[in-house]
Amino acid sequence: MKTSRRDFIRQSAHLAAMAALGAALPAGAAGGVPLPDGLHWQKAPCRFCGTGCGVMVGVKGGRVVAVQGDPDCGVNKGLLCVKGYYAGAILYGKDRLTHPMIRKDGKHVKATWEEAIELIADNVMKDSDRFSIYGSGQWTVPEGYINLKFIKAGLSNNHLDPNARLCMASAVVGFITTFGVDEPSGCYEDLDECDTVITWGNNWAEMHPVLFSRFMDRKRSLPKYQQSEITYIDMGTRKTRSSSAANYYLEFVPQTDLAIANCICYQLIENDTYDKEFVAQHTRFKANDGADLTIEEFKGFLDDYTPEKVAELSGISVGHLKMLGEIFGDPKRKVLSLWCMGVNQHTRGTWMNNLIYNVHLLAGKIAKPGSTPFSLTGQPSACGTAREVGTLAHALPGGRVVKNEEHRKDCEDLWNAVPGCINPKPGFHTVRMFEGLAAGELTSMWVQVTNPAHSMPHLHKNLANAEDRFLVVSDVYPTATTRLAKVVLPSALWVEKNGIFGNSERRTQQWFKAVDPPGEARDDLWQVLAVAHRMYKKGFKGLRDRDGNFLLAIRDENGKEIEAWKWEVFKDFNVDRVLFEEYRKLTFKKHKDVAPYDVLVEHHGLRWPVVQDDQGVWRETTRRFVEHEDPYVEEGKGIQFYGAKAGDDRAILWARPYEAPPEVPDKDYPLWLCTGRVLEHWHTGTMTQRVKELHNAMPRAYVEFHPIDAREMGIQDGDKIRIQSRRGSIVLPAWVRGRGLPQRGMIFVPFFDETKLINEVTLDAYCPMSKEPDYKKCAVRVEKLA
Amino acid sequence: MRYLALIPLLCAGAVTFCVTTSLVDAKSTQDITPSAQANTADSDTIATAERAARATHRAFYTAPPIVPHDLYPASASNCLVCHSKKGTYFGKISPRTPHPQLTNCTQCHLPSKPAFVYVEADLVETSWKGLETPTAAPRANRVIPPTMPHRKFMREDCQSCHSYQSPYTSMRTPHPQRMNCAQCHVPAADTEFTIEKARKLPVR
Repeated sequence: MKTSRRDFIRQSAHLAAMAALGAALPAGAAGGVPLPDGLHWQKAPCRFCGTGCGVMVGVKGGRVVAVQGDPDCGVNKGLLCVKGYYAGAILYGKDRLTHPMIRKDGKHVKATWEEAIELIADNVMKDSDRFSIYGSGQWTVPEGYINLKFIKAGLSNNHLDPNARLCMASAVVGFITTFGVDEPSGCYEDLDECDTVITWGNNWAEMHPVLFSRFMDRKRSLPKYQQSEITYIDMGTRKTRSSSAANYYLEFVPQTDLAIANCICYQLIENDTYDKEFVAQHTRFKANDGADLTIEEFKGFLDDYTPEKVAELSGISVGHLKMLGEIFGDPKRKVLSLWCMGVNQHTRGTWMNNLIYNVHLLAGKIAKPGSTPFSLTGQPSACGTAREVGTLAHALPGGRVVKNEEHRKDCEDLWNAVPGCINPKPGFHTVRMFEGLAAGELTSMWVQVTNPAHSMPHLHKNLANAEDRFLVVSDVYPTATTRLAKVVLPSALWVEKNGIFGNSERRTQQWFKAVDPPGEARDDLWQVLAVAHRMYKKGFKGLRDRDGNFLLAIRDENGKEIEAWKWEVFKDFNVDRVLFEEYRKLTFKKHKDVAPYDVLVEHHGLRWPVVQDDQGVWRETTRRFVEHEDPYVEEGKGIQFYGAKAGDDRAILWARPYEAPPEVPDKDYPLWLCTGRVLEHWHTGTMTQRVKELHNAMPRAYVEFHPIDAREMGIQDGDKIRIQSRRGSIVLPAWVRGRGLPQRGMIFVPFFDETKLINEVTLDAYCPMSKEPDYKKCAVRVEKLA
Repeated sequence: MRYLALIPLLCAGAVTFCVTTSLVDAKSTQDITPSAQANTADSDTIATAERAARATHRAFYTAPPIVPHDLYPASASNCLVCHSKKGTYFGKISPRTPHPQLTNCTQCHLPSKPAFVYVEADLVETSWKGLETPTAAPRANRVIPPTMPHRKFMREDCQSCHSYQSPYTSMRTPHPQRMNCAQCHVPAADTEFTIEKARKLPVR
């Protein structure tokens, strides 16, 4: 067998590593047939959620054969969940895409990379202003960065948005409006320090199970008398596995979370239990329209939210609302608030994020060990790529925005791009982008690392005509979206390529390629480089820099350009390192300093800002805005919200009122529909449904009912139920006492199943500030089929 | 008062429900004693058969085992009815969990079939081939105690799997009276990973 250069380097380095460690010779030198030879372990972050667990990938004979938790990673300390343990098997589904395909006469026909690249380049050049890129929070950092540079500088076009718009946009706008800068102060260590956890519409036992276990295991490991001092309160609209572990499960009417948060604030001021010193030093008040308020005026706004009034609206008892008020009012309590999609996928998602900060700011429970609001992310690099790199319609890397001239200039200078090439007008956000594609305002789209024909709300409207546009889809398996594509490109997945992810707690994690992608599958990063270079060669002016060279050129350490657009060159050169080092220079402005690539290689992830100390050691920041932890806090300040736009280091408490949801159950459509995920499956199931064990445990979607509703409607387990909304309908089997227990008058459907697209039914109303759709509530009726 | 009488009955019912489908039959394995193991050819056959049986509920060696019986409703207190102590329930051996401090059992242990019986699993076509169970633990020479072929993390309680009542005879310790396992058995070099090993792998 021929040994390639890479294999040779790998083998010699591995042997050298073993020799250096004084490891015994490969076992089996004497006695028995022992451990399989050639097995080695490589570090990587898990492929799935935003928790960002460290895993060790076992590789043998060029294939992934095992995955274990990384005991040295501060996120998970060796523990994983089912998706993590089976992450290796996602690479080996029989229907992996292994060669490019082009649709001819309605059929996907095998094509060469050369044909595909040529076709894409021609089409993008033809109408580059009406081209768009729809990506993902599962892009690695360098992938997101190259896409941003390609479309925003190269094509002077801002139609770039990630699926994180459907997931984290409300959290981002919440952070920006309250603190002036994105991403949380807290970290996962807060789970080890808090004495009260409050989850706001978040089923973390299934969606962030490793964090859930980190908290629950800590609680159960304590002596009994101490366990009772640790309280877990779950607020939600559906009783879940998390609720079963909670001390209190507080069920509220959908959308009334807005009023509940205001009610807690009302009590803090009314009972005079708010943290006066903290509020005076670190906060100010603003009305919904942006006008400044005094605390008395803010109190006036809150008068509508007495426990009695809110109890009537929300369905939570006055006693429980008062308990929440007392918990936040107790200066000794260390309260950790956690939330994810329940708050973010909300037609007032931004307000809801602001309101949780209001509660914590008033109580002075923020940026303290164990006492902080912490926004969990859904995707492995929603923070690292979508938010920090800024692959959003309005953003540029490192917290910059296209509207700001100085920000545009920073990027143009670093990239040696032609001055003025970045368009100051924000592009289309996700829902607008698909509306644009349907209406013909956009003629072409390149979809990478996501599956919008399954995950967009109100599919019938948003994916109309997509098949007639020039749709390019890079993916690893056939999906609902590849079926609509003109060109399908096979991609490398997870450890088949180098990568960098950034998780919920600002931790940046790097990994090396461990195995080769199958067939002709290639990195998304290479695909973009190849198309961009083809356009440059064909004379597309935007892709020339100030000196007429290729704008996306990859240069080695001596400054010599390498031909990275050729796969043979690309696959033996670490392009990630070059791009990450370039991107790193853009992270200092807003104090989001990521560590150098070579430093990340030696760590199990580091939380930014990462700054070198006097001894030359790179120090991560556990808690942001806190003196002695965050190097950007000035001496003597204690806590400093240095992101504040007004420059006064104060966080803003916004007077955000309750607002009714856009669609509520009525006579014709009498039930709420809530959608979500299950433990076993990741998003649209394209990867996890190819794992035998995960599929066997949770093969298909179902609809959950409250048992009393089911009895009244005469519905039993297994009955076929048609769910009908104003937008569409699907048929699903009923599961009355299912994984969770929705409240009376609500049904729940998981969205992972590609044979049962619940998004035919969902509403695409979105938060007007973050543009994030609400997948959690719309009105439906059900009908039992014979 | 008369309802109280129902409680033991209900408990027994729950236990039966859990264990009736267990793959391991206590009777068949309890006959095997150390004297039977003296015959190497026999014990090799048994070991091979047992490795194959164990592999049916693990996607790869070191993966958390899949639950071989019905699992509904799944909650820690239900699992711990049988798995907090090792024992024999209605003729089936139930291993004790080596990590009782972790209580979100289904986070790692999947059921082998859907809890919701009205949906059926399709055949998943995959070329996945997991790490195989080693046939013997590595040792430097024939006379010294074998090393541990897996890492200790979450398996600190050796007795969970290697006790004299283990359902797999080939995994039983031949010297159950010795309790300080780590005195003689150290982890094999390749089972524990360190960042030093990981980072020395080449860049592309």
